[in-house]
Parts: sequence; C-alpha cells; structure tokens
Amino acid sequence: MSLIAELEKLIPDLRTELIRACSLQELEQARVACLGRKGSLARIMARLPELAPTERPAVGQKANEVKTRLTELMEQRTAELEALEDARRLSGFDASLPGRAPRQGSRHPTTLVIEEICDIFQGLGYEVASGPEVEADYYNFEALNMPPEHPARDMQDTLYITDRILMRTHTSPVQVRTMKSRKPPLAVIVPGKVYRRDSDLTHTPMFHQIEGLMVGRDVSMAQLRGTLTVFLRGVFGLETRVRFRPSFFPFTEPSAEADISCCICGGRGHSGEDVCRVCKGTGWVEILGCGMVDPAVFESVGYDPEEVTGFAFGLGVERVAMLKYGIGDLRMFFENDARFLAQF
Amino acid sequence: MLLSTKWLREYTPCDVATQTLSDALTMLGLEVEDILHPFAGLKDVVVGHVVECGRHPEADKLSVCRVDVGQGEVLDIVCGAPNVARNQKAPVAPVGAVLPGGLEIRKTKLRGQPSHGMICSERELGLSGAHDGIMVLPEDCVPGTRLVDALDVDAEVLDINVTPNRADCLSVIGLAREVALAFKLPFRLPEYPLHESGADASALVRIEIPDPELCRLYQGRILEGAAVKTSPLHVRCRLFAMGVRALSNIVDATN
Ligand SMILES: [Zn+2]
Repeated sequence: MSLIAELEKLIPDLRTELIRACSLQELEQARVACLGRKGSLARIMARLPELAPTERPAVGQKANEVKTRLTELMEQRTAELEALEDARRLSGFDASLPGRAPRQGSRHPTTLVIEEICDIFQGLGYEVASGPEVEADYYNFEALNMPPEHPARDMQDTLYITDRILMRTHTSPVQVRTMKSRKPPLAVIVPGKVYRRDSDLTHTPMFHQIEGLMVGRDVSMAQLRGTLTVFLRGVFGLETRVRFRPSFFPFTEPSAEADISCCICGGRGHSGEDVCRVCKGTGWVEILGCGMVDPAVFESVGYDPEEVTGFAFGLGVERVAMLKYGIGDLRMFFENDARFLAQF
Repeated sequence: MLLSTKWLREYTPCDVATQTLSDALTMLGLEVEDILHPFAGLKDVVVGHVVECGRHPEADKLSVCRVDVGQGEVLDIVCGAPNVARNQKAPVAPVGAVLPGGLEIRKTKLRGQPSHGMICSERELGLSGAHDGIMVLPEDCVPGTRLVDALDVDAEVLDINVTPNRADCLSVIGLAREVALAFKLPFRLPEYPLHESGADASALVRIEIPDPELCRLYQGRILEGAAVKTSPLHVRCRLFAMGVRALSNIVDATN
C-alpha cells in the first residue's frame, strides 16, 4: 500500500475508534494512539525519507490534509461527549425546587440566665465586671483569706497549670481585682466561666458562676438580704420565699447560704403522693452562697476594714437555669443538641 | 459527721421529732444532708427463744429446733450453726423476711425436716463479718420483740455537713451543745468515774518534746491488764450505726 493510501485509511480508522469511545478518557486514549508522538500518523511520517525526493511533497501535503481532518473529527467527538457528560451530571436537578432555609440558632439558656441576672443587677446600679479565667493562686485563694495550708481549699478541686497558676475555681478573684483597681463605694456583678476537677452526673469541669460585690460605708447584712431577695424573686417569681442559713466561706464572715422555696413543687415538698425529687421533700432548694466581706480580704486589697463594709455573693448559673426552666440533667447544657437549645 | 439521735439524748434530753431536730440543725448552719436508718434492713428480724434443740436424724451438722417467736408462736427451724443450743435467745428471720443481703426467707425442707425461718449469724444480719455461729442475744431479751428494739440500737442517724469553721461540731458532745441551746434544754456530760492505781504514768514513760512549737501538749495514760477481745454488743452496734466496722475492744475504743 502506498503511503498516501495508508494516510487516507487513518480517517475511517479513527472514526471507528471515536464511535467506540464513550468517555472523555477513552477519547484521549484514541487521540494518543492516532495523533500522539508515537501514534499511527507519526509512524507513517517517519517513513518519509524512504521515498524518492520527488514524491515527498505530494505525500507531505496529503499528510497535512489528513491531520487537519483527524483533528476536526477529534474536536467534534469531544464536543459530543462533553455535552453528554454535562447532561448526565445535571440529570435530577430541578431548578424550580425551593432552596434550603438556613437554620437560625437561638441563645443558649446559660446566656439567657446570665443576661437576665445582669439586667436585674444593672437595674440596681451594679456594673458588670470581668477577669481572667487563667488566674494566679494569689487572687483565687490567698487574697481571699485562703493561705496555702487553709483547710477550705479542700472544698474545691482545683486544676493547676503551674504551682502558682490555675484555672479559677470561682469568680471571686474578680472581687479582689476590682477592689485593688478601684476605690469604694462600688457595686459590681461578675459573670464568667469557672473550672473544677470534677466530672459526673451533677458536675462538669467547666461551669458558669455569677459573683456580686457591694462595698461602701455601712453596707449591712440587712441590705444583703434585701438585695438578694429582690433578685431571687425577680428570677423565680414574686411568690418565691427566701431563707438564709448560716454557713461558711473563708472570704466572708458571717457567711450564709440562701435557699428558695422549691419552684418545682411550690415549696410543699411533694407533688401529689410523690416526694419532690428536686428539693427531696424539704420544700427548699439551695441557690447561692453569700456573706459579709471578711476584714482580712479588705486588708489584702488595701481597704480599711474600719472604714468600709461590704457583702458578696456567688451562684451557679446552670443551677439557676435548671431550676428556672425545670431541666433535670446538667449535661444537656454542654451537649449542644439543637433540639434542646431551640426550646429557649 | 454522723449523729445518732439516741446517742445525742445521752447528753441532752431532746425528744422532738427527728425532722424538727434536723430542720433546727440546718438553720444553725449544721446542714443535715440526710437522715439514715442503718438498721432498716433488720426490721423483719425478731428475738427468738430456742425451746427445743435436737440432732437432725439425717444430717450430723444440722440441728432441728423449735423456736418461740412470741405471741404463742413456735417455729420449726433447721439450723446449721455449731453453737445453737436449747434456751438460747437469738435473732430469727421468719418466713417472708428479707435480710440485708437480699436473701428472702421461705418455707423449706432440709433433708426431710420442715424449716420455717432462719436463726441468723451477725454476718447474715450485715452487722459484722462474724459467721462462726448464730448471734447469741442477752438472756433478758423478750421473744417476739423486734431485734432492733431489743438491742435498743441507734436507729436514726443524721448525716451532717459540718463546715470547716465548726470543728467543734465534729463530735457528738459538740453537736449536743448546739441542740441543747437551740431547744433550751440542759446539757450534761456523762460521768465516767476514773479509778487510778499503781505508779504515776510519768514514772513509767518519759515523753520528750524537742519542739514545743509543733507539739504544745502531749497527754497519755497507762492502761494495764487489758485483754484483746470482741467489744460488747452495744458498742459493736453503735459502731455499725456510725459506719465503722467493729474489730476488737482496743481498736473499737480508739474509734
Ligand atoms: Zn420541691
């Protein structure tokens, strides 16, 4: 067969290959086999030097014609197959379907309770203050009348970073920071995260507290009771009864714990025949710790305990939220289950 | 801190209802976290009087007893304890009783002999580890009386959360003082007469305190002629109520 005939035969050969190729990948294989550097066209052209010099121009011209034709065929089939692939990809797409609405989050119950409590105290003239969560031992314990060997340190399980640096175990260090940076009279409310080495059904390693501090001339226990009663009725309802029990905190003297009448059973201690599980039948639930600022704390911040008095209180935010919204399981606050969070 | 209401009454005659007492302590800053009934598991157990005790015809190690459990009721009970004997007073769990371990007593037959209850060891009652025989009760126990009444145990125990500033209330005496004040009752310390004899302790033992800053006072007393043995029953019962395991008279006294 002459080279010209071989060249012409390339056209029907490629056509057959192109019809067989049904993906862009197979098409590429066919292109390489025919038009590639070692393809059939190149192999024919490699034999050009075998011809007499007079024959070469005619064969060269034919080769150019054939190459143009082959390239055309390739482009045609490529376009066809691309169209087919596009159609495959778009099948099942219905441009008239409505779009997916973005899910809107809601505020977390912990945030809601913090905002509500801060609102009440801001209404009473308190300022919101904050402090670091990674805290020096000095602010967390020592300045609060808990020297290194103090037995009250046993009341808390502390997460230490170094011997002197720890994750604050309560928001009380902010009391010290506030008093050190300002002069009395002052009234602050401090929401924030606190950390303890404790994790079970009723404890999480991180939870939220709110601390309150009022310092001035003649601040009294009566004012403490009045303020906290107003606050607790604001959160739990006007019918809520409040009682104060003597207790102990190293940084207040005297200290008290405040109980509210159980908001689950209405303070009756039982609902119907069953003993109330929340207050264990007593009709009261513990809600916060409070007391008159210990003179030793005033001394460590440079206030004169003969000149000023003050009260402080602290409470757990999750506990308030559990009682207020009737949530039975502390862990729900931290699981971020959207079905739970959407209810607030 | 655990406080038995019965023990409390040895120091102050407080006879108010337990709930009233518990509320008063809580409002004094001595928060009562729980009211425990350490002997609740023994409510079905009564005092029995072994009126007859003979060999089991089919088994060497078993005895066939007839046990008076009061109100004219006499039970047939087969007992495997080596120390069971006629005329003993012993704790009996009648049919239907559930023991602290969860064992329910049923009517049964042991090698052909009917048995309508169980004469119990201290271990079966959950009182101690003793299981080398049945628990023998004092002679004067009345058949049919509930065991907890016959032993006059510390039936109610308050679990009190004592804050670190009230170490004075880490004792029955300390708590009794608070209760006496709260209810305006007399407070009295029981008298423990002391009979001293022999040489002064200081003649027998020399105590040196190299650093009086670290140890301001060291007190001691020499006790002679004490034999290590099991503590009396009422001491063992009291320790049980306080959640302490009775071991021997010496260890128990320090507890
Ligand atoms: Zn309740």
